[in-house]
Amino acid sequence: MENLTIIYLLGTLFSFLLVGFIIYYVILHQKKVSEYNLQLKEQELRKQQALLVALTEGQETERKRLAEELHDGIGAKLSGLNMSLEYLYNQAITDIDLLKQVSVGVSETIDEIREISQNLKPSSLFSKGLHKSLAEFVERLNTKGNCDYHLYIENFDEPISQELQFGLYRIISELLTNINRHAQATEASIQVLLNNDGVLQLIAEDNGIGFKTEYQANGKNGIGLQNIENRVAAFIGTINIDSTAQGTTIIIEIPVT
Amino acid sequence: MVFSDILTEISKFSSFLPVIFGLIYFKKINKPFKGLVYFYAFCVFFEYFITEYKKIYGTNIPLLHLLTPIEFSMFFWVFWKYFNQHILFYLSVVSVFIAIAFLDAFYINTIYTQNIVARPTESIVLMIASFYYFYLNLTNHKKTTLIYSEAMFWFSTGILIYFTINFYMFLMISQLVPPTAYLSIDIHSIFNTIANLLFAKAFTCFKWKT
Repeated sequence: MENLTIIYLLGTLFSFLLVGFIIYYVILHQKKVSEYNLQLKEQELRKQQALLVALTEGQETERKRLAEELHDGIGAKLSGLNMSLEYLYNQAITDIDLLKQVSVGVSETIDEIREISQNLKPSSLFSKGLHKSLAEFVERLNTKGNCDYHLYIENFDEPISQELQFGLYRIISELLTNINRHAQATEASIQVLLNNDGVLQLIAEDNGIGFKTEYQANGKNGIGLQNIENRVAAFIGTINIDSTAQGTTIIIEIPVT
Repeated sequence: MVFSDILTEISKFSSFLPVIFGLIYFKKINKPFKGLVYFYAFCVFFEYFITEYKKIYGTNIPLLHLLTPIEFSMFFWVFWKYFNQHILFYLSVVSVFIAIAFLDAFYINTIYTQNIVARPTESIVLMIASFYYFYLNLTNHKKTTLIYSEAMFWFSTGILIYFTINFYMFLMISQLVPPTAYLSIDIHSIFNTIANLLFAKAFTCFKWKT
């Protein structure tokens, strides 16, 4: 009888140890595999980030070149043409109205080119800083349409890098342009805050008609939104979009430190 | 109260743990685990019903014949949902098992004797399911999360530990006479407690979003 008890106890103990060993092996092996996979994933992410940074830098350089060509080349030539037109307008006896019309058209074209050039290369960002440059951008938008834009940028204790300032400018201008073109909003606001964890939070809100967020899930974003996502990804940030027929809220978080 | 009674009481009390944890995390847990919460709640009720039944009729074995197919259907359902198999597969396995349990209760044995065919069969199938879960995780080379952060891991571990010991007990059952038979009840109580702790732990893997 005692032997049976011992056999039973040993058998139970052996079964338990065997199962325990199997589970321990599974945990150990799976931990190794998941750590290795995590490393691979991080490497892949870093590669993608480097690629995105290079891509945005290339885009910036190209924009700068294009802005200079527009401003110094076409802009300058049109200004010259406009001066000649003004001279002709002052000298002309006939077709005065037509000349006036052409002159106004050329002036408007020069203004548009200047604006495009300014948007392509925000030179004010270097001299005036992010806050003032964006304030000017918002002011320009406020004078144009029916929407009332508000901008709030927190004064950061530590200045953020120029690279990030450029990125933020592009992101915010893209967001504002999207609201201006598509949202049909009457109120819109942009807030830029830096929380205690060193995360920069950008909140864009509007009371417009919203857009279908499933485009985002399907990876069918518009070019504008895709640009924003690329820039956010380049700064290892996250983007959260909540859009309904009553308005849209976009929250972007970018680690600064 | 002797040591054996203490173990039995602890084992009985431990059956509350999965229900308590299941209810705490109920809003966060997925459908199969919600089903498990209902099942564990049913088991708590059944445990006390069995005790009362035994007091009246002197045996609880007929009710154990009834519990075995219900328990198997529920545990196998959780695995089946995880493995994402066709419904026919689940229905076929459960139907065959119910047939085995029926034959065991009325033809191979009686409803007043231990279901020594159905219980080992249940143990084997559920052990295979647990091993298959571990195999799938071992061969998944794309996974970046740790296995022990998953509810299914704790559930499978509980199943594997409890049913391995259970299987061994039923293999030896023909030779189990007192005092070894009493020892087997104590061992069963210990592993039932361990399994309940693991089942309760499974629910904590469904984290609250912060």
